[in-house]
Amino acid sequence: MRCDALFALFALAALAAGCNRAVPTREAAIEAARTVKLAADLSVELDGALITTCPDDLSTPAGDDAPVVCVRLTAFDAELRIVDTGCAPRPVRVHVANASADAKVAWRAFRAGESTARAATRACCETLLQPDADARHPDWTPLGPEAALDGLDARSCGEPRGLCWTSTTRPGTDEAWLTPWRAAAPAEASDAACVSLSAPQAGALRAAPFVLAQRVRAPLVPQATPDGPALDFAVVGNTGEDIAALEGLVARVNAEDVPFVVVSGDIAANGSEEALDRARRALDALEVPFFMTLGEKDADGADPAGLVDRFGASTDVLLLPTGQGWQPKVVLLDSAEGGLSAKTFAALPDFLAPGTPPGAAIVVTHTPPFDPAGLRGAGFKRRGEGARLLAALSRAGVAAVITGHLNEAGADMQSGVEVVHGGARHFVRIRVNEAGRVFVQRSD
Amino acid sequence: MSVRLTVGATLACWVIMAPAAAQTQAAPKTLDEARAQGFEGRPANEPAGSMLGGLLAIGPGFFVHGVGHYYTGDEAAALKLLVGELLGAGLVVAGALVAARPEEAGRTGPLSTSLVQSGVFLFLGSWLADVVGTFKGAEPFDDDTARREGHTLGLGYRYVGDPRTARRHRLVPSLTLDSGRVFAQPSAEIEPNFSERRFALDLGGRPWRGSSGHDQLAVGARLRRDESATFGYATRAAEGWLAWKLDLGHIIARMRRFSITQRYAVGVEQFQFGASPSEVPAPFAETDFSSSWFSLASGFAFNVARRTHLKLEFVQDPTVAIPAASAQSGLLRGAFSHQYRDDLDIDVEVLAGDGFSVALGLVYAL
Repeated sequence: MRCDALFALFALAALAAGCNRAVPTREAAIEAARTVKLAADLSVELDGALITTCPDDLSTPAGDDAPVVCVRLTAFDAELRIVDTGCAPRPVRVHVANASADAKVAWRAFRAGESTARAATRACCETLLQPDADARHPDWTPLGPEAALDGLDARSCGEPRGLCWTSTTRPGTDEAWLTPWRAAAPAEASDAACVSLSAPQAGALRAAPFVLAQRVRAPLVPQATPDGPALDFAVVGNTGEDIAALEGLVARVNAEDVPFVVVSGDIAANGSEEALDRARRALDALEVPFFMTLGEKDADGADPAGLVDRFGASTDVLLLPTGQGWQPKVVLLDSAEGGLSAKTFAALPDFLAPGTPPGAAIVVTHTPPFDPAGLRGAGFKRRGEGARLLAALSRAGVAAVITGHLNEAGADMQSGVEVVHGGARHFVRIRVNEAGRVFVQRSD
Repeated sequence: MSVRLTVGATLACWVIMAPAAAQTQAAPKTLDEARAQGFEGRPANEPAGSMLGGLLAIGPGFFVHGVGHYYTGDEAAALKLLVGELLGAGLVVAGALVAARPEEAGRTGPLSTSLVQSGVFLFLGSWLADVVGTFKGAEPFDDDTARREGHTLGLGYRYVGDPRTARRHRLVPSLTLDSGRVFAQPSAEIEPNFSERRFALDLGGRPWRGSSGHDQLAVGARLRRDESATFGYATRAAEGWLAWKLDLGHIIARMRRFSITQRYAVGVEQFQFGASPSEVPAPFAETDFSSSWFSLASGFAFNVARRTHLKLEFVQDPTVAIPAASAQSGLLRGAFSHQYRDDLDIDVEVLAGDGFSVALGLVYAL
């Protein structure tokens, strides 16, 4: 009897362990791709970019053992931070994919902390005294002004949508610098210098990590239209296994004057490595950056990390900085499984909250919350979840929702929100203006 | 350990053999004596179960349905099962052909869904009937004990294992007034702090009922009100449905009292959205959005024991507690009802899709 009970307990424990095993998700893969540790005291953190696999043809100078970090931009204002708690000078080669042709690189060094006196000054009279603070990192101590990397140096790899350079940090002397990709790595500094500069007597601030923040910015330029200045972009998707159709869409987009493209998913046949690679190669022919959410055909059986590596973050908020006091945003919602994840639902209020500066919000998601054809049921798998999303979109005053999934193109109003169904093999041109109005033009 | 095992085995043998020993004393010594005492033996057209036949039905029988029945000598049933297989495959192909015209998918979606699901159901069902019938032989299943008449009061609890649902515990009271021909069932599903609630009223009738509980046709309507004070929306829904249940024994003799079931429903839902996630619109507030849906459930029902009824279904229904396993599929529902006493049932319902749900209930006859 006791044996039976023990066996039953063992079986239950095994069942529980099996049921509770961690399932890799795309959200976890996205989080994992936001940081990489290069050494015990050297890491890279990313905002608006994700770690990705380096291109096969990326070459480094012979005999060079500097670590290489390859990232893919997921924003028009991204920051790549090298956090160095060591002392000696260290080079890191940085390769950036999915950048605009006019992207600019700038850098600034910090200590990730501040002295007591500086903190007190900020607390009491920040407006009056205006200590040298960085808008992004107000409680860090800048070690100098922001410096720009020469455009030619930043494009020393010769890729149209790629940037690359060599970053060198030298915490021992509070120095950092950016040089062209092929610049020689600096020589090792003496240990003596490190010991003297990192000693406790140097103060609490000295013990704070040394951070080299490198920003890649590509402000978008609104075009003059009869309705005022406006931004354009294209949404493509739903080509399935027809890779020629995807290549055709890419060629058409390249002929248009759009600064970026959003892919609404379903550009691969079945989530296989080969199909995803083919789709990625087709999208690489775009002359502008692309951002992508996923469809069920892309995600079906695919490795989450592989999807993130190829296409970036499938759930994200893409701010569109115009530099003119208005900033629309594109919210990518991953609905490849016929609904949103619990984490995305929880983050939805933040995603849809009014921004600063203000601007219209446009949602791109593969599966529509509700199928306009009703009985077919090609919307969210559970109607309660569709209602939950639609309620949030309606309350937030979202200007438009662009979907894929359905093969018939069309548009309908769902609770005051314009839902545009791109249809099969679609190319939809979106224009959003300063007043927050969104114009949708389907280009067949 | 070994002593306990020996004692246990001895006791088990004694328990098993004792009745047999008692019978042996009274049993006739020859077949003729047995026949003289009224023993008729198994009819020639109702063979016993076959282990090898069952294995054949599982293995090669998956590709050629009816192999098991053919092996045990029931050629007529084997032919029917083969026809079922071909018909099922044909329906799947027809559904795929309908779905192959994506530009018309909005109109033809329910038709292709019905054809594919019915075809898969028929294909797998004929295979399963071959396997079960061959293993089991001609011995019929127990009589269906699912209640189909009388007034009952149900008290239940549902757990929803879905990460998207913050409120996972539900109370599920229901009242059933059933005259046999017509029935009404008001029910509710309420989260204990009342933030998620569902109220429903099912009204229906059974225009056709077989002599036993194994055959019937039912039609009805379901009025539903959902309210979410967690996400700030409410719905009003009306659904019309048609369901049938057929004893498979009419077609395959060995599957007597094993019923196949099907349910179709079409509904319209009106959504109302609150100004904030905690605000639930009033029942007669303005509708913000309307949408229709179609649902389909296919399965089978039989008694696994004299008073224990089991119903297994594949369900495509976007209104149930958890979402489908994937965008292109549905979920599995198992409903288990044990008649503990004549006036008390114990019900268990399990839903398995993208997440799971378990409901436990007691049903009191009034």
